[in-house]
Amino acid sequence: MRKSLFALASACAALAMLGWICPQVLVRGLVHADPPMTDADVLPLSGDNAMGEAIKQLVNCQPACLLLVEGAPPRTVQVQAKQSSSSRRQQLSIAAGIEPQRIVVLTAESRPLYPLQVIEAWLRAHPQRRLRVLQDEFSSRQLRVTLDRRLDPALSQRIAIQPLPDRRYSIGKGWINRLGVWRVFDAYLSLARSLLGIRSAEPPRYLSPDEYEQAFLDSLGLAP
Amino acid sequence: MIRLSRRLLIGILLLLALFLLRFQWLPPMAAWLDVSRPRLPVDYVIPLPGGNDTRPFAVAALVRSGLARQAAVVVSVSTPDNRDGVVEPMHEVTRNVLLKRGVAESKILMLRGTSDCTYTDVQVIASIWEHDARATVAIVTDPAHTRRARWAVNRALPTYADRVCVIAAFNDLYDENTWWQSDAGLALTLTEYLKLGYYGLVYSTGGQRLAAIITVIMLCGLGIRWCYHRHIVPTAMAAGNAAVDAPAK
Repeated sequence: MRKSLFALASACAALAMLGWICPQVLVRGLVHADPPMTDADVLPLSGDNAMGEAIKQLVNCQPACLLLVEGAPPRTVQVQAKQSSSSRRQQLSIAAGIEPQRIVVLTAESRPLYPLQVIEAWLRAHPQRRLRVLQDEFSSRQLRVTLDRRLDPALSQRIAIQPLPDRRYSIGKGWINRLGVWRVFDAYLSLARSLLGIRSAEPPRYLSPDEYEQAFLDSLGLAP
Repeated sequence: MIRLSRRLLIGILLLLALFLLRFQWLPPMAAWLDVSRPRLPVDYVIPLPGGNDTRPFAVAALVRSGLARQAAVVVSVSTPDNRDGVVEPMHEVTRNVLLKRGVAESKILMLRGTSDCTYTDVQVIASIWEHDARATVAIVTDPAHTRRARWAVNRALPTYADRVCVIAAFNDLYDENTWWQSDAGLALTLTEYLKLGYYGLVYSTGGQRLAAIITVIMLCGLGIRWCYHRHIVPTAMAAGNAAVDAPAK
């Protein structure tokens, strides 16, 4: 009887440990951090407070540049309902004391934005420069996998990824909240696609605001 | 060993069949999520927060074409990026789109609340009936999101559910017939199934939860019983037979 109780208690304890450790291990599989590079240019690609972190690093690193990647303008920017993300970021950086000549906007015509091509072009055009990419922590391993697969090893090695935790959910703050769970699920899907080398299909033609509204009314069968 | 190989072969054949028939079963998976049923005209049309590149444009088209009397915008909880000034709040962008696309300011109603998910968005929408008890409402969202939005309306607003219709604003990020071939399509569709499960778990009634728990316990019990009869009993019998046979040798 005592032996059975002991076995039951041990099994419960093991399950509790497993339940606590497994999610941590699961999430750590998504995170990748490269050793920091000194004097590297900084590219805030994604992640919470990426701009704040980029500005903080550049203020203390005089010769380095801030790189901003801008894709084709979304409809909200086309109708001037909001600023483009790069112009807003430029304003923030200048206001924080970064000289305008240290800010470089790399433009890509693709939508959704595939930043890899512009990063590759930048590295080829500037063979002496290195890049520190600030990336959402749950997408950091996926980015490393993609860089290693699609770029020359010589180029890929010139990029250091710095994972950024999110203030709402991160490994350090306990990611098991609603937003964190969705994010981890998304991140694993993207990582799986990258590991399998599956490239995303080209999206349909991006419609202008007028075209979109007309197509929407058509889809309801209510077009005038 | 032979049994294992047979199982492996069946598994591989099953996966192969799923892959070859993907165009038959994957598009219906996305189509099931779309429960868009426009019942127009309506008094108010509301873009659910998110999807600013599609939903506010659809709402503007409905108001301009006279199919909705007024637009309403749900005020969302600000994110850390909003507070840092890196990203404009979603409801401000939505409002700006409506204004820029020809919706008069007097026709835009801002619905104040502290909403951070579909369920609370729907709860905020309930304030419309405080002003106008007979109002009809259309909710505009992404096609994959319509089922969860409809579910939230039925659960959070049972009194007004029949006065609400849900309309899909198509997105041009990916082709819905080949959603699994794009990152955005894959993430939006599969995550939506996960979220539906979560909603079922968190926002269901006590009775539904009890039924789900009983079902899970029963399934676990059946699984354990199957394992016991399939693996443990034959192994024990084989060991017993071996023990009986041993002295005879």
